[in-house]
Amino acid sequence: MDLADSFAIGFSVILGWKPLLIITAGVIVGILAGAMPGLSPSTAVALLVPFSYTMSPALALILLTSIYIASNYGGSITAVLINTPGTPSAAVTAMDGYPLTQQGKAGKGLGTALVASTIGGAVGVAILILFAVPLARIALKFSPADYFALALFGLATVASMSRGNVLKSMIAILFGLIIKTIGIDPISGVSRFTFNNDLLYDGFTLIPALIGLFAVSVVFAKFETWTGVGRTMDKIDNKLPSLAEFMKIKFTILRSSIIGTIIGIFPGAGATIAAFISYDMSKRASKEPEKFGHGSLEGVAAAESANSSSVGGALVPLLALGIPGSATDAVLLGAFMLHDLVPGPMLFQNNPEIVYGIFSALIVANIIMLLLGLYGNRLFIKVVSVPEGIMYPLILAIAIIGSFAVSGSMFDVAACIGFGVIGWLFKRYGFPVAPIVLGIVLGKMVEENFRRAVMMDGYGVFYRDKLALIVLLVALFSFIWPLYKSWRHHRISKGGEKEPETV
Amino acid sequence: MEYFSEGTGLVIWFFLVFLAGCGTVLAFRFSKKKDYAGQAIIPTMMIAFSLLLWAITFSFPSEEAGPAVLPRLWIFWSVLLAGLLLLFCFMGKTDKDPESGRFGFLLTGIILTIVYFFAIEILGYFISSFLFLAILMYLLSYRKPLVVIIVCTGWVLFSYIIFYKLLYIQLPLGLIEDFI
Repeated sequence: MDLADSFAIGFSVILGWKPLLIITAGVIVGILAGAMPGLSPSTAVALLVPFSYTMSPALALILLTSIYIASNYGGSITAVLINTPGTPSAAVTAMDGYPLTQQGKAGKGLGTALVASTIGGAVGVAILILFAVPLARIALKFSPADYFALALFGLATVASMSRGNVLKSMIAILFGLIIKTIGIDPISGVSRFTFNNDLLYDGFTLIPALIGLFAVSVVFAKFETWTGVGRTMDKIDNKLPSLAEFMKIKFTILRSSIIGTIIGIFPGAGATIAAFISYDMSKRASKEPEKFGHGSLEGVAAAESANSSSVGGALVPLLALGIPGSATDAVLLGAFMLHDLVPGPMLFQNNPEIVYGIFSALIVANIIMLLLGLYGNRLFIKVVSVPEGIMYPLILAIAIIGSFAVSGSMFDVAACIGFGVIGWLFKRYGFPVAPIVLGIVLGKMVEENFRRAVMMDGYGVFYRDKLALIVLLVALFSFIWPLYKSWRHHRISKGGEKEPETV
Repeated sequence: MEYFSEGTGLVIWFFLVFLAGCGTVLAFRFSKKKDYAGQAIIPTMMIAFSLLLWAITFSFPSEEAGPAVLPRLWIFWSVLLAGLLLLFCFMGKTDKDPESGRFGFLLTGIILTIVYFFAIEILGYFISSFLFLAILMYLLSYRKPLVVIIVCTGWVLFSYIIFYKLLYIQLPLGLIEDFI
């Protein structure tokens, strides 16, 4: 059966008011769940799995995948408006999205995030449709050494988050990496840095740390600079980016979409790593890299298109081989089994209506997400006009409940507050907090794969495995090059004056 | 070093590191480099934190690619780079401290948040959230009673309906539990 026939079957599944209503409902739930800190895409999908039980398998999976693809966009809404990433990958969006809001350009931030998400999602789905089976086979050939190299490449992106102070960024990322070692070692089962406290056996969860570092720290910083008079941001530009602005960032969106899809294919890599890496690569390729971190539309576009396209990538190993690539994929795998389906090569042959129904639904879900987002942005932006005296207490309330919602533990709430204080302290003295998140996200992937690689093949594996060696060298280069450029720029701008150098 | 990795030895090590850290910051504060005392806080804390954890790694099993390898690697680089930054602070080759802010108000906000944290367990999430929002809005100079009540009530209702009822997140009920 050729692709056209398969798509004809797929679209026939979703044409009708009921499937379209289900897709719309899935997109709305996905956006709302993604926007709410503490509710991850996997939580949103998991919560609706029971509701999907009475539906036909095709409609059930269409609902759940619509939630999945919309939730990554949803995370960008709160990231841009109140610097509270709704999903971990939206932390990268916040780096440029929130400065845009502070400049009164919330409309541009949200509009760029929406369009980048839509295009990213579409590219991810297109690659999924065309290359699912061969890509899945390649991904599974990656050894632990290759994964370690990929994770280290992700760590090398710290140089792009430095805003001129690489030393402080590296200290921040090392803090995140050290934090991630707290808890039970997943390989040997040894308890590390837990001080015999069972609350620390699982270490610190990502989401409370993320909410604390990004949202709570902003509120504490506001307390420090509080003038006694609450302001309202009255000059809010809710205009979307112009066509000319979009044309400027088209290559960023396309490049980041492809990067995001490729990274999403690797089990365990995920949207967050995709967002960080594509942000870094976009900054290097940009004609205005100095704007990154200060409200660059390219920065927002790079992060959002990558995290949305990674959904298509993550579905590649799931649909083609039955291997979940992310937590959300694991929940989707459960949903497949609930409906008596086994994802893998046979699914394409025996149930093409399911597979191509999902593909068709993802295309339509992207379009519905775009339409809902265009309308919804006008409402979302009104959040920014809420008086500070109301907004900041509500941000703290959202942070607290979002942290608690992760696992129903007050320890996560305490961690969120603690990271909020750390985030305030770091920001006060010029340390970026995004590298801490990067360290926490990548720490486990770096360590587990490094140790597995060494246990299997010894330390020599990192130069025997050609792919790992190449990626490690690229990572080293991508880390050193910005340092060299920064040093050279500093030497040129100093021009022989004898003033002390700023590090 | 294994003596300092747990028990009494660890406590001693903690105090030694803590005193060294305080001494470093105070040395900056009362020297010609007092404009960099704040910048020295984070690298000093990182070094102290790293040294504390480094001592603990001696209680881990020592094996090739074991549980101590990566923590020690991160700790090594952390001490090295934080030490480098501390040196730059001492030489005046880094940014000066930012201007002082309203630390008193900040401390009040943090303490209020911590009190809210403990109040959630005692009074329950809904009562403590209502009170926390109302008090914080008052402190942030928002004093329209009707709006404050609407916002606080609205948030409590939202969190009850969405989180407690719809998402089955078992928010602590505290005092309300006795009446249910």
